[in-house]
Amino acid sequence: MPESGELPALAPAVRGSRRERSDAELIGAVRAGSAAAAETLVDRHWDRAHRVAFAILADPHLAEEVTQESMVSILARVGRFDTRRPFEPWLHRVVANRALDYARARARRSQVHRLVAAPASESGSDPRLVEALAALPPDRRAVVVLRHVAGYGTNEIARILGIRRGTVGSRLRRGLDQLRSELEESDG
Amino acid sequence: MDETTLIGRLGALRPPDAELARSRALERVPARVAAARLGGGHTRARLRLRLASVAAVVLATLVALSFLTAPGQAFTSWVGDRLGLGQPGGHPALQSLRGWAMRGTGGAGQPAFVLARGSGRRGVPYEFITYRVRPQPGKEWPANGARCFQLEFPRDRGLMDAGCGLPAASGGLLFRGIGGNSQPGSAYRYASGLVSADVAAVEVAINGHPIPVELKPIPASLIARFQIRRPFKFFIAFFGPGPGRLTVTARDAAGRRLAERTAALPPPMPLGSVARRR
Repeated sequence: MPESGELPALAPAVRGSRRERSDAELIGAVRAGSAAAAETLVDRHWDRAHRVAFAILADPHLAEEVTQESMVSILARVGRFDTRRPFEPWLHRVVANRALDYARARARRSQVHRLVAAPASESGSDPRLVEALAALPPDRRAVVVLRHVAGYGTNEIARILGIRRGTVGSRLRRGLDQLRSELEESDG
Repeated sequence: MDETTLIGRLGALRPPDAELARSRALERVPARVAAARLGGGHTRARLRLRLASVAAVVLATLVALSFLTAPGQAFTSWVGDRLGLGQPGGHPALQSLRGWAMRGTGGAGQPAFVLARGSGRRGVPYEFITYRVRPQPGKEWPANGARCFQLEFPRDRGLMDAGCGLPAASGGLLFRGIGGNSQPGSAYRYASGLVSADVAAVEVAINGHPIPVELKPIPASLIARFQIRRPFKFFIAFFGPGPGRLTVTARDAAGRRLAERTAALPPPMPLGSVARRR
């Protein structure tokens, strides 16, 4: 029997009414056509997804576009999503791979883009870091970003990028080494 | 720079104008999602296309099965009957197969017509058909536009040559040999041939034991329509495997023997659909 003042029968309901709706519940509502649920999902997951895209692309306009496109494509076909699985890694998988596609395509034309430096106002909170990240090969950059910007572990990164765990480790090591040397060089 | 500092800087990285980008996304993404979901017509069209592709594959599989399995072949024969295929005067059920089987011969591309049809042992349907050989320069007979015959087994997809000659006008018996299907479970043999119009009965016996014979007069209307030189009848007898001596006797209405042929029955044939031995 509970001690004084507690209302065990009502407490879960009270907590339920106050708690945030889970991603799975919101996805169910989006499936039913709720624009408000879509807005809540965007609000909840925009920041990290946008940061991942920006860190991979080093271009704020493209990062915004890629993040928006990824969210639209995911939420428009949300019926395929297995709600037993977490939503955010799925979103990041789409964002990271889409950003990586852009970055690879741009790397093929790197001579052009290396000449066009982004203005400092467009380089975010750490312009030198953005520049150093942009100097990494896209595949290496994606691993570094997913590990230290998005905070994923080796297994999740391997799943997101569809590569082996060993490859994640080696790309991460080389990426960090290269990043450090780039920054040491630019910091003087 | 030590790694901890580097990792700290990575963790703190923020895009410029992040709040503006977020508010633009909050305004645009839900509206675009709603529009995309409303415009699901594309998705539905793709789904319909996909379903149509699946249906086409299923249909193709069913058609393939209809050629390969006995129930399927029975069904296609039934459909063919409903469509009038294989009826005397009409086109044979294996019209398309004929196009392939006759390739490179004087019969290729020539229209074929059914003169007689029936079913034998275990309900095996057959069609006795005629076609005219395309005249081929530099070739003698039968490339002179002669009328030829073929015995076809729609269920077994078998086309057996039945020659281009006619039996003698009176008391004629053209024995066209022995054939059969050696597939386990549906094996049969047959003996067939042509007799003149004055033959009233054909008897077929194996080691002296008579077996049922179908004797089919070719209707006069078809003889005239296909400009066949003289009337005749077609006969076929179905029997089981096993060696022996086969006798074919043609008799007139009074039971008099007009002609007789004998042949040794070979041992069971090797595996195969329809084959023929003279």
